Amino acid sequence: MSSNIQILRSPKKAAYGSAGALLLFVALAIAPKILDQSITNEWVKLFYLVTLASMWNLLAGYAGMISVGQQAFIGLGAYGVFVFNDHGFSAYESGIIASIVVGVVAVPISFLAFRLRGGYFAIGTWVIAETLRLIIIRFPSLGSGKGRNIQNYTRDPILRNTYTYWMALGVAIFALSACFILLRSRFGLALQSIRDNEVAANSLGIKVDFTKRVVYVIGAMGCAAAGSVICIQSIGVASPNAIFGVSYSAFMIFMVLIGGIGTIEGPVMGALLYFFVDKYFSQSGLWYLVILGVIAIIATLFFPKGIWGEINARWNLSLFPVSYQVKIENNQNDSIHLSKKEK
Amino acid sequence: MSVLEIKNLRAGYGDLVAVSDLSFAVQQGELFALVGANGAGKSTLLKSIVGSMSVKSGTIIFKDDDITTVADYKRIQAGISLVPEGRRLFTSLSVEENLLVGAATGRKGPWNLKSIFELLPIVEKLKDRNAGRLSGGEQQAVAIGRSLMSNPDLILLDEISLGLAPIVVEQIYAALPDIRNEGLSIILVEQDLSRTLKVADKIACLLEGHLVLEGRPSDLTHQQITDAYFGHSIASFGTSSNGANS
Repeated sequence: MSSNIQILRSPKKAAYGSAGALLLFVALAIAPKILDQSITNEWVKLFYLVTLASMWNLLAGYAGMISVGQQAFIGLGAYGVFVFNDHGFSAYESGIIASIVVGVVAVPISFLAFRLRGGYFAIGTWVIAETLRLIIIRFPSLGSGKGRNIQNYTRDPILRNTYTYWMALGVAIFALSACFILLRSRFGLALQSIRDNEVAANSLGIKVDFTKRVVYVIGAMGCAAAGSVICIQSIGVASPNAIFGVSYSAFMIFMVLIGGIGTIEGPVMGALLYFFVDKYFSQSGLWYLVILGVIAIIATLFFPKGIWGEINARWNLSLFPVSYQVKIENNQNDSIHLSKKEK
Repeated sequence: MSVLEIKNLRAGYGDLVAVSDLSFAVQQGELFALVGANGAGKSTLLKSIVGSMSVKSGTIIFKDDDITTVADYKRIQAGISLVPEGRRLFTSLSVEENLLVGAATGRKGPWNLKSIFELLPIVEKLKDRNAGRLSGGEQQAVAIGRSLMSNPDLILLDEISLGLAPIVVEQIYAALPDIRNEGLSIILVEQDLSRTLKVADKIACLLEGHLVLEGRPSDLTHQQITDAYFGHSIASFGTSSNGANS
C-alpha cells in the first residue's frame, strides 16, 4: 500500500467566493441604471477606499513593507490625469495611462526605498512622498501648488457620474482580483515567506528584492488608479497638500488593521466600516476623530486580528482562501505522485 | 569528485577578516563537519558559500563552476541549500507551506513531500500546524525538510543542535546518514564535538578564521581535535600527516 499526496487550494471555497464576487460585481455594475445617482456617487468613495486598503494590505500584510508614503502615488495618479488630459486624452483614459506610468516611476523609487528597512523604510517612503509633492508644485502647468481642474471633461453630469462610478468599480475589482490571483500563485507563497523572514527566504532561492519590487510597483499602480478616481470625481485637485497628504496613509492603515491585515476580505470590511463612519460622522468636527480613535482602541483590545481575522479564527471562514493544504491518501496504487492539481 | 572546492578564501565584515586563506574540498556524498569555537569563522564561511556575504579574495567552485561572484539566489537554484542557525521558519505559515516554499527553485530530485515525511515522520504529524507554534526541535526538523525540498546537491547545516533537547538532537542526527545516502553532500557546522565525530566522514577545525586541522575522524585522536578546537599546540598540527594546515 502506498500514499498519494495532493496539494489542495480550497477550490470549492474559492469557487463560491469568486462566483459570489462576480454576482456582486454585476449587481454593482448595473446600479447606476437602477439607483439614484446621489447613492452611486457616494459609492465611488467606497470603491477607492477598497482599492487603497487592498493595496496597503498587499504591501504590508503580505510583503511586510510598512509604508506611510503611498500618498506619493495617489498624488502622482491624480496629477497624471491633468498631464495626459492636457495632451488630448479623455479624463478616464488619462487615469489609466497615469496609473501605468506611475508603475514605471515606482521602479526607480523602489531602489531608493529598499535601501531602508523597518521603521526607516516607513519614514523614508513618507519623505519620498513629500519630495514628490514639492516637485509637483514647481510646475505652473499643474497649478503651482494651488490645485487645478480637469480641462477637457464631459459637461453631462449623468454621463460623467456614471463613467466615474464604473471606473472606480473597475479599479476596485481589478485591485482585489490582482491580489487574489497573485496570492494564490507560487509568487504569493514566496511573498509571505519574505514577510516572515527575509534571510530564510533568501536562503531558499527566492528573489527577495525582485519579489518585493513587483509588489511595490503593483501597490503604486493601484494607489495611482485610486488617485486618478479621486481627481476625476472632484473634477480636479483642490490642493497638492491634500492629495499628497499623509492622512491617506493613516486611513489605509486604519482600514486594514480594523478589517484584518493579511486577508483578502479584511481590507474590504475595514473600508466598509470607515466609509460608514465617514458618511455619518465626518461633519461632527472633533467627534469624528474621537469615534475613529475609539474604534481603533476597541479593535486593538478585543479584535487584534481585525474583524475578518476574528471571523476567520472563530469559524474558519475564508471567502478567498490563498493557503495551501497537503492531503495524504492511502491507496493500492504504487505510483506516487506529487501533483499541484486541485481536487 | 568534489562538489565544493574552496581555494584561498578570505572573507569578513569591513576591515575585520573572519576567515583567511581557507582551502578545502567536499566530495560528493560526504558528510563534512566543520567545528570550532564561537568566532572561529564558521558562519562567515557558510554565508560566503551561499552568497549572502561577498568574499574579499579566493575562489568558490561548485560542481566545477566558479560561483565566487554569482548571486545568492542563483547558487540556491544551482543546488546549494542552507539550514540557517536558529531555524528561521516562516512563522505565519503552516508546516506544509514552509515545505512548499522550500521547493521554490523547482529543482527535480528524490526529495518531495512524501520522502520528507518518510525521513522525518514528525513533520508529517505536524503538517497542518502553524510553524510558529512548534517546539525548537520540531522547528529544526521542519527547517531541514524545507531545505531538502529544494533538492540540493549540497546542504549546509548551521548549528542544528543549538538550544535543543538532547533527545531531539539524537533524532535529527539519526536522519543525517539517510540524507547522505541519497548522494547529497553535507557541511555540518557544529560546536558539539562528540556528536559530530560519530556521523562525520571528514572533520575540519577552524580557529580564528584559519583551518588548523582536517582529516577523517578515525585518523585523528580526540586530543588532537580538542587541542585544535581550543587553540592549544596549534604548531604541532602544521606538520601532521593528515593534511592539516597551520
